[in-house]
Amino acid sequence: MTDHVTMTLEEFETCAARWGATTALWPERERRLGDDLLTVSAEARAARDAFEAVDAALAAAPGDAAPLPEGLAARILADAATETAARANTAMRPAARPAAATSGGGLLGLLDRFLPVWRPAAACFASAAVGIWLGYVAPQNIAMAATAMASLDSDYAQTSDVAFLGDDYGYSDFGDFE
Amino acid sequence: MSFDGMSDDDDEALLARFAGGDQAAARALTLRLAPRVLALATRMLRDDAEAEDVTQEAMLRLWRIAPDWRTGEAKVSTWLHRITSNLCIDRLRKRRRNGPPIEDVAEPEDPTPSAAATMIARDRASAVTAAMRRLPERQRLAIVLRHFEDLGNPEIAERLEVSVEAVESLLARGRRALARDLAAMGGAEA
Repeated sequence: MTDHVTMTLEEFETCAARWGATTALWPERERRLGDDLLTVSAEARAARDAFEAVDAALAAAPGDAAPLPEGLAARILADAATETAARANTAMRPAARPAAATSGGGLLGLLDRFLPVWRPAAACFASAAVGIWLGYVAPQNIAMAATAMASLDSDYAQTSDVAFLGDDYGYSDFGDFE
Repeated sequence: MSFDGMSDDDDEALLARFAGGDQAAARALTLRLAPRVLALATRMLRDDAEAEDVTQEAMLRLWRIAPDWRTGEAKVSTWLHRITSNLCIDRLRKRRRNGPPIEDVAEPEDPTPSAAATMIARDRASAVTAAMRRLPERQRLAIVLRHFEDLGNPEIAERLEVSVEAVESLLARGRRALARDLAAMGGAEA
């Protein structure tokens, strides 16, 4: 089946404006229709020439500006010097938490450097040791305390007048009040 | 490739030297990179003073990133141009801050005399540069990024925050306007 679709001059110009004057760079369908139009239309060829001129002029347009204004160059370099000085000041400022101040030298320093988890590990171990000690020793202390309390109660019962007050007044049991 | 024909490896080496405190490297980088940055900013902003401000800001950002620059991840010139175009787009948006959204603004006709009339005695390349200054803002940005920064339409769309189709439309309208100006210049020269 023959494709009878044709391209108008306006469509041709739109394609040239969008993708450039070289029809070979257009999408396949537009390229074919555009080439067909170029063979029969002087206006299309003029439009192509106009857009070719644009492409050529853009390609030839100077890429660089005029020499950098003196004042601008000076400001840029002043910024560079300021940044360098700021970085130098930052580098010279003492760290907020220097390693030497926290760990010192010697064995602790080596541990900090090569086994940085030693401090939390030691804290865990210490906590566990205290817990075990309390679990083993405290019950014995509690038993001793209970024995001592019982002894005190016994001594108190033998020497206190209050303990026998009820007997002295004949209140041997609560049945007397009934 | 860098702007002066030297390799981008040299740009990175200079940047590393500057990061180490070498101010001569800063001078070399300024001479190599800043003129193109200024050219780009001037094309995008059409305001020489603002273009100088943007150039200074872009170079300052280069100085600041120097110690953290990762060699081989990006070209210095490409990075710098991206920063520059973003700074320019930010400024253009600020100009319109109190106006309607950029997408809703009709492209105004430039009332000044055509570039062809004013550039009649100059060559075509200079004429197109002048004609570009007369383009409406978004058309000019699209043309600059496409033809002078070699960006693809998707990258332009990303920077301008519009669709790829909108970029194609902007490029088409911009080229049409340039073609009209250049054709008029040809007629005037004849």
